[in-house]
Amino acid sequence: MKESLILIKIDVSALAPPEPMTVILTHLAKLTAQECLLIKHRRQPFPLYEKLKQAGFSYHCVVHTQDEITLYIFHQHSQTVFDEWLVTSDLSASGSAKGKH
Amino acid sequence: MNINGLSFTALPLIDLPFRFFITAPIFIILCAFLILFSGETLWVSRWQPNMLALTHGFTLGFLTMVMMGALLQLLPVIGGVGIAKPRLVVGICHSTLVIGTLCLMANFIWPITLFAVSSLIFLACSIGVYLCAFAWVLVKQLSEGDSIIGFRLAMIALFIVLLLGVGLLSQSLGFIGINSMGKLLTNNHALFGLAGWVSLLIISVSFQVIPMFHVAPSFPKIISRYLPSSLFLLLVLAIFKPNLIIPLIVLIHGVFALSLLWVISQRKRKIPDSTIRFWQLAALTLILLNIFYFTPNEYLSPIISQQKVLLITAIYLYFYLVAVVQGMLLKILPFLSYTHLQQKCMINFTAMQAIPHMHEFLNKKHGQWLFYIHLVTGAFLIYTLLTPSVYWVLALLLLIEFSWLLYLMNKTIGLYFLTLNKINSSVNE
Repeated sequence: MKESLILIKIDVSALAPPEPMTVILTHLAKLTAQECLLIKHRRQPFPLYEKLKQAGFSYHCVVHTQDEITLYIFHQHSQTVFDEWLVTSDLSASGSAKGKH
Repeated sequence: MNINGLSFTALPLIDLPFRFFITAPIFIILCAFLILFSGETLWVSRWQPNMLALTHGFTLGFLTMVMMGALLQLLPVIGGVGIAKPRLVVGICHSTLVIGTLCLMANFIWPITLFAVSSLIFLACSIGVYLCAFAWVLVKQLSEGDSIIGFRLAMIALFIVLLLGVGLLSQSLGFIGINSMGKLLTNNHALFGLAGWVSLLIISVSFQVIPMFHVAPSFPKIISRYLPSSLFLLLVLAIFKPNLIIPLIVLIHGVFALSLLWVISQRKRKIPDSTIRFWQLAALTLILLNIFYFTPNEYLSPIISQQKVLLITAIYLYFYLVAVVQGMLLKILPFLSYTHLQQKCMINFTAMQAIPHMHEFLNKKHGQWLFYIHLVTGAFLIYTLLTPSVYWVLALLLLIEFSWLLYLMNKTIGLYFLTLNKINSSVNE
């Protein structure tokens, strides 16, 4: 991450439900405003998205293939920093989903 | 997949699917009493009124009941969108499905106009409202995933089943005259119901849930893309050329079974799991059914060849459709309970400590017992078809199996609400 967001990488792609959600929530509980959670997953955790917004997080999802996605989760007030980083990266292509407050 | 602009306020409250799940085993318990009080004559022919009541208890009361509830949760998880006004839709669909199925079963046993008209109205209302609610989502809102295409075709099959069922009931009431086509319509009603609505939906659901829950690879693309459409096309063609097409429908189920066994064998963590055992049982059943179906009658004993159609239908229903649905219930009940509770903890992460381990929601050993009871009950179902005098053993086994399933469900749901209260009180502190 270019400026102040530190990437915390986790891979939940080999875990069976509900373990991915458990791992994600455990990391979210500790996530600071200066950090961004980068999750390697096999599918989009749709039910999580709505709750993320309610809990004060934003997300950005990049769909690579049918079985491979990368999900970025960060605090809503870090949105600008994340957007700036996104512009300089090649992740703003199609096939992505995002949820802002 | 473009999901921008979609609403994610889609996951319905847990009591909505649970309402369908908890009702389903009660219908089989009713069926067990029906078998017990009907005696040996029930097993003489598929056209016995009590046999028709029994099959509708299984197909509408159990299979359709669970599938309706499961789709409510599956669509938001798979596609990210759910139906509009879920509480209203579920309120109408669940209550009318329960009343309509009971009236239909009663109408077969005690044929009176009141039961026939009531079942016609309630079932048309239940399935009609459900189809409309899901058609809106499936046509407008979701992407073109392979499972979603299968869901759409299964819904069309359900619509055809409903139309044929309404036609047959209307005939029995004298509203329309279709006597010459009665048997043809009944056969297609059964074929679209079992191989269309339930099987097509199970196949489409398997493309998603097996890779997801069991960390297995995706099904081969050629299977997930073309098998549901091919099966649906064959069902339509079977209306016109049943003798030529039904063998192909049997074969396509065999192809699905082989690919299912392959995907299961490729899963990353081969942990013993009752749900996987139910899937494996279903796949082996479909392969054995292929062998049985294509074995010429001269190689079978007279008693088996006489009952061949009934045996194939019973094995398909119990060892494939009911087995998969039970296996899925063992997986999704604890999963839904756990997931819904986890989401409650997003407001207060420390409340996560209150959530029990997944296996506490449904003990693994208890799931295994259900699998073994299912095997024994299924074996006695086949034995009863050949030796009807043992019907009472089958009735007792069904009573034990589905009372056990009901107990497991109640235990899971009870623990869910107990934990929910703990989380709510810790959030309010």
